[in-house]
Amino acid sequence: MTVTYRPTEDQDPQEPGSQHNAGAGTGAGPDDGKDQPPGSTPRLSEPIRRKVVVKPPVTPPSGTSFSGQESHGQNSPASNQKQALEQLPIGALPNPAPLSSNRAQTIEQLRAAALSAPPGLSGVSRPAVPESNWQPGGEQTRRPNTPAPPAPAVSNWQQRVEQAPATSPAGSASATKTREPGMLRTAPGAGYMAYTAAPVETSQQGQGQGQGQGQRPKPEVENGNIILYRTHNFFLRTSFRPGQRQNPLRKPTGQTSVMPRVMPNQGKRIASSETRLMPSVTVNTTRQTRAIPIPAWAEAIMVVISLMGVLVAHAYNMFNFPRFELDEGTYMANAWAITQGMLSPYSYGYGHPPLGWIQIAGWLQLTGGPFTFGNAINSGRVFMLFYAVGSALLVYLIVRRMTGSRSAALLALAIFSFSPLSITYQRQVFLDNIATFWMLLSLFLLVASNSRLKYIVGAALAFGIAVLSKEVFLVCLPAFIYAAWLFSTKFQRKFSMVVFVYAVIAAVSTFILLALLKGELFPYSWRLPWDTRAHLSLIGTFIGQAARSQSNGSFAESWAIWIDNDPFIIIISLTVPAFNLVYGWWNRKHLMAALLLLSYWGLLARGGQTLSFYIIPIIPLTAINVALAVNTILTWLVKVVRFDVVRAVLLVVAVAAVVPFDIKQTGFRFYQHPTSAQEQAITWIRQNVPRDAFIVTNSYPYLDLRLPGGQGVGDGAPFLHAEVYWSVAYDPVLYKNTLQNNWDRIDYIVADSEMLTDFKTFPSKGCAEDSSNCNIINQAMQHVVLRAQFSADDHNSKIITYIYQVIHKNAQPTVMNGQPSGTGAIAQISRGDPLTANERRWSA
Amino acid sequence: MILTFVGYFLEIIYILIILLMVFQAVFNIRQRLYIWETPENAHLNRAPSVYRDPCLSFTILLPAKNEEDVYRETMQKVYDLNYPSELMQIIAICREDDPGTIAEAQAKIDELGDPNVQLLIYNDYPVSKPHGLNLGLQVSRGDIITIFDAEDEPHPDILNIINTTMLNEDVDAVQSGVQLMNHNTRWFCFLNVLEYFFWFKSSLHFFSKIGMTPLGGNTVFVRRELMEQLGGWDEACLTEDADLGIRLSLSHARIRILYEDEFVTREETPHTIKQFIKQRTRWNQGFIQILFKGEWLKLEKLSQRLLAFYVLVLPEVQSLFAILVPVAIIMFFLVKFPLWLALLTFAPLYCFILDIFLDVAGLHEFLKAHNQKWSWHEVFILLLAFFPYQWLLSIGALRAVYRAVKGSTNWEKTAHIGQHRGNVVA
Repeated sequence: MTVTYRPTEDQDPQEPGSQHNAGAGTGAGPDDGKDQPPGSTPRLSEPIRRKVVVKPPVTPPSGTSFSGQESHGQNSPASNQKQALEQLPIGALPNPAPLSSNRAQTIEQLRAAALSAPPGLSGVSRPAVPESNWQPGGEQTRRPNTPAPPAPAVSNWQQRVEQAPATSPAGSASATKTREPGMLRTAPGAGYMAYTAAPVETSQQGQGQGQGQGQRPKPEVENGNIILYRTHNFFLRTSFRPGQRQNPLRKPTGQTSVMPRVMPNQGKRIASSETRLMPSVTVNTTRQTRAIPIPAWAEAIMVVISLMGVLVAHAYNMFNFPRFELDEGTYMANAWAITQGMLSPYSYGYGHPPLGWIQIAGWLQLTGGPFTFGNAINSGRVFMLFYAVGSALLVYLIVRRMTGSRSAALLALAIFSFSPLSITYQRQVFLDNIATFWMLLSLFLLVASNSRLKYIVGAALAFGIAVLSKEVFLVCLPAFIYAAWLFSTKFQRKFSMVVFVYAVIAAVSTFILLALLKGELFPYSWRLPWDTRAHLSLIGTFIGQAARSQSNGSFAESWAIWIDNDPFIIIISLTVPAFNLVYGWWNRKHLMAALLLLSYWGLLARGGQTLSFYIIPIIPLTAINVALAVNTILTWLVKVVRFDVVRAVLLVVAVAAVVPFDIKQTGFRFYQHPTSAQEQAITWIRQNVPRDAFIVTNSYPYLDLRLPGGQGVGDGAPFLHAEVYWSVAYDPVLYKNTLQNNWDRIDYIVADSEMLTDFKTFPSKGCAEDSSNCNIINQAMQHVVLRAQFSADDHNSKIITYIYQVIHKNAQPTVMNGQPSGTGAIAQISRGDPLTANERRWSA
Repeated sequence: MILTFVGYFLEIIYILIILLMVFQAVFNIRQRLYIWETPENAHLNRAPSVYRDPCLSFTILLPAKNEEDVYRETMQKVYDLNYPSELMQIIAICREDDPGTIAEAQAKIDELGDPNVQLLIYNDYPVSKPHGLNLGLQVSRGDIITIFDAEDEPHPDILNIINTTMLNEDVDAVQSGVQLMNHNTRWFCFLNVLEYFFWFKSSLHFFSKIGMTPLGGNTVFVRRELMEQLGGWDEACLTEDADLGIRLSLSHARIRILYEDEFVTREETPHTIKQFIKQRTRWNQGFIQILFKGEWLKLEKLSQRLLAFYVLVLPEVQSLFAILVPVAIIMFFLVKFPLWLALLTFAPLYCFILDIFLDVAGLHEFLKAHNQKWSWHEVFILLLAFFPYQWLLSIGALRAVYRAVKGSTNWEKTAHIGQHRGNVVA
């Protein structure tokens, strides 16, 4: 248990404060006095080790007896001190003049030792001490009066010490109160103040110097305490025990084998260091499989070629197949309304959040209007192409990150993008296409995050955009939260979860905020006190949708369509997640993928309205699931074969099988042209219908009839009274104000089989306000003649569009009770109530 | 015509303020979450688990004023640190007009009887912590200077950790974590505790990355030579710690931030609202002083200067925002905004709410790290306290501005009663 110590490295074992001391030890005392202002740090060099051989304190220790006066030592009785300090701790006295010859010898020896020490060591820090911080205010001015110390430090010490007993009480009083303590000390030795400077400092100033040389300073010991250092404005003291080791701050030599008190628990600590709470930062990422080295550029070329293939498959015959759907027209009209500063051309009904068609609106702005690619829907379909290709890329990247296998990623891309269902629905202007892209982007950001918070925030925002594009994607939120949980490390998980969930909810909540700001959150039917006018509402729409029957599309009907289009993907979409669900017990990523897919299947199967294109997000998720599962199974195979190339080859073979199969299945989608029947109808209207006629149409020709330059308008004036049949049936602004509930004001009805089916679903009673309006279209349909009819092949049936003219009971019905606008801008068309039209603007 | 112009002007101002608020809030969140941004950042706070032999000597400065209640215990705790007492110089720093604390310190010194435990008493002006520290610096001998406040409870191994860190890594200064511990004594304690938690655990690393680190007031370990080269602390400054941090950054000192939950120095919150506001006032006023002192302008990079400016004016900006919240609400009801602007108006609110959730998550993390019990009841108080706490901060900021304008620069001392040691508010 022996510990040896060696002196500190930078300085010899000096006393506190000695680091400021360069010159005194080298005999340059006087110079020092000049160099350094009197109030500056005292300089000492010699003291090496305090050897306290002092009698026990005379008076018992008492901390409370301390006072400002005492602190300056002016009241301490000299006799007491002499008694107590007959012998000094050597170390405590830097430059003490020995009281006895005996002591003097010691000091001289010490000084000599210090002198022989390398001079640079102790002076290192000295120049760095700026005066401003060390020197009290009044010092500098007094300096000229202060004679330079005539002799080396030792003599100064002697001088001062000798004068110790003579103390002026007045000086002490001022010392405690004045702000300029420097007044009290003009003595030359002031600059050499050091530990155990005598309590007589002030008296020295009063009495001048040069007296009493040869006397040694008396260290100040009182009540068992020793003053280590004193200047005019402060002092430092510590307890004082006879025989105590007086060389603090020694350092171990380095030969220490045992650390007695220091490190009592080092052994234990080392033993337990493994179990200490270390941050858990294992990232849930999969390494690239390394069996087949493919350079990045080769992979990039492969991906680009694949995406080109996807682009061609989706673009070819895109304007002709599939037929223009109601929703496509609606979203294009909404997008156009956005460019005009409205949320939708009719009253915004909160059916879907507006962000989807806001993106389309951006596309319209970018490409210079809706008719750049022919008719409005074509323009939208070109835009969808980007989402389709982008989604394909994302599927590739997601699977690549999750499995580390490029061939598996390629398989997923093939399954997703070349599926006949994809090629049909992803061409169409559906919000689902937009939302699917954003959902995949979100998933990719999570998968590729390496647990970076920025990625996780990005993923949350992307998912928020997905939900704001199509609200039903919210059903994936639990699975996405699980994904975020999975792909962040335990260390970050708490905060990444908070940020992810909050960002998603915040993004989604803006939809509700929008309704709130427009005063349309609560249904008018609740008769809330501030509700003064009829309006559509978010909650009302939500309730309506929840209660919506399957009349427009049941799961069974859609199922039949899907099976007819692509039985392969539907079957694997239901079977593979089962595998992943089970295997998810061992690999949570599989569980996550399965949950994502199943949560969406759950939404479709819940029994509400299910339109056939709701399948869109299921296709990429299926592709991801299949690729994961197949890759896993093939990995098991590789364990037997011990040759990883086999896995890759088999996957590529699978791709080679899937693509031709899908292309073959797709078949007619590349040459049928059902949209021709619809475009012919538009052309017929352009040529035959008077421009002031009130036309009830499907929504796909809406923009083309209403806007100058549209396909149905040509060079002439737009149709100011072309209206979508759903709005005519349900929007009170239309049926009540414009049509005055009078079917006779309708001039033409452009219908297809789909519309005719919908007509039958219009309620004859119990709808919005009064029952008479409900049938306004059906009433008109009682008085129509078929003017034209166009048909084209569509899949294995035909699409037929009919153009009916209403035979009026009264001549010249007055449709235009409002102010028809000259420009044809929808926003300017009055529907009888200009205020309503205004309020429909973007204003809150 | 003129009226519409004025309207547009006001609208633009309004939008700018909203954007500024959002920016500030997002930046603040980023700062608070910095340590959790990437898994690699987890290691920024790691303390060594195996210690090297004690080699560096420490001078521990314990400035105190009117700390009779806690001082003696603090000195004992500092003395009991697992480090050779031969390598520790402990200097209690008091002013002569504080006989109570001096008596406490003296009693402890007498009891310990160790010459390395020393008492420094000064009698001159200014009466401030940095002045005492500067005097302490004059008589310090250790390789490393450090400060503990009078109510601090450093971890017993802290010196071993710093010794190891300083030896292993080439750093000039180490800021170890300081943590208020009494999270549930008063309603504002939750947020105050969490503020420390996020500040020391995360924000400081962010500052350190940029290269502008306003240090904490204690448990900061600086090489003594460096401290002397810098000329000690700024005695006129009310937040000498932040000032020192900026000067250390200016001198390109390598600053290591170290917040391992286990090794934080434990402190207590101010125990009354009055004390709390006083403390805030002092800090904010100190920041204003540093701002006008202008040393931060000498920082090299623009990013550093901007960050320094941001940190220094943040309290005032935040209080401005707090005042603007009612204005925004009134505007919202009186003025008919376009829809997008109305939506934008809510953006700062979204950030505030995220702040609340992050606070709750932080509370959970804090309680887990210190093995304390989670209680939904406390979360509820935290939620309720969130906005009143912002108001308290605002009051502190406004008071600081007022005092700065008035020119009163005296040191408003925060009282300590040892709540973190289980003492109860009298």
